Amino acid sequence: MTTTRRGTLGRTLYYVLTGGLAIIFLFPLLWSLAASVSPQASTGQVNGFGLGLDLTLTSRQSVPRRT
Amino acid sequence: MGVAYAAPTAVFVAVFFITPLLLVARMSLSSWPLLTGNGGLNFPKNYLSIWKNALFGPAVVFTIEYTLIVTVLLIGLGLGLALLVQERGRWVDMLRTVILLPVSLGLAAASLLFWGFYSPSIRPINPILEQLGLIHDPISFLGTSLSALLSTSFLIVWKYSGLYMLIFLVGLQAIPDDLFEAAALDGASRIQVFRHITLPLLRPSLALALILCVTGSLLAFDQFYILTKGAPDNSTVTVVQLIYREAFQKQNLGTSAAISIMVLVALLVLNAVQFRYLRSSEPGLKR
Repeated sequence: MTTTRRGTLGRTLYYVLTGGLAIIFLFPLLWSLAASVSPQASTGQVNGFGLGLDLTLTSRQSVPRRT
Repeated sequence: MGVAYAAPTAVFVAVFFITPLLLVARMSLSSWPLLTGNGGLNFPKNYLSIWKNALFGPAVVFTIEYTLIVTVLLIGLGLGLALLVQERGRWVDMLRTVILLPVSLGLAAASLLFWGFYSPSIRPINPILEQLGLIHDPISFLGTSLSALLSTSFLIVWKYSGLYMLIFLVGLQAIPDDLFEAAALDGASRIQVFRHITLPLLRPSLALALILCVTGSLLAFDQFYILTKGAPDNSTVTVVQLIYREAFQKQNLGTSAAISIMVLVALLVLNAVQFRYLRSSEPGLKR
């Protein structure tokens, strides 16, 4: 195997390995981002996007302060 | 003058470190129910009751198993990643950022994220693995003791390997280039360079990583509290979870403090041994 070919193979392996690592490290974060704009919470509904979760959050009342 | 400079730190340490420590030591010697407060001296019953606790032995064994797995994985992967991304470039810079991203997440938030990941009702992983043809039946990530241990270890490795990569990267960058150039001139192979130059000169970084990793793993709580709560069948209860249960479920602060003191002593001994070993074998250090 020539040096150039070995270099190309090495580089390809490097990019495959580091690309795989990037996917492993990014996937959970991207999934949580996608899940945060899913239409309804805890229903397993995967089609479409919405701000239902954020609206649920804003509709939550704060704990009343003692006066 | 020196005393004046040291005084603020000394006061801070005394108020926030030594006083709570003394309070815990006093608690460990007393009968101290959570709601009624100090009930008087109870030595040595709190310490003796630890050995009668059926969960203590399994919790210690589980915590040690978890520590071993996480330490080996984190230090191995951290060092591997540091070697992989030590040469700068646009792709490498991006990769470093991606690997470091999970470190910025809180441990509780990351644990909740992975709880969703592993959950049988939300489960994004099983459908993907099924579609890829890698599995036929859904995997129960938190269903058995071993799978829960491995799944939690994966979460910790995912979250912290960026931090360990950073520690090793700093260590690698502190090694003078001359040494590598001299080794290249002498015709040393990559493995020889790694074994005889990189690894010995990375010893301070290794020591730091080892102490951080072992201490952090022995004190594991959040991840197991959120992911497993000790299930299945109390097989994933860690020592700190046991301390929590004694204090807030059994409402017995005395026994809880006694276990805390034992963990503290174990950690002090372990760290002293690690320091001694790593310093005594430091290259060029005269003792």
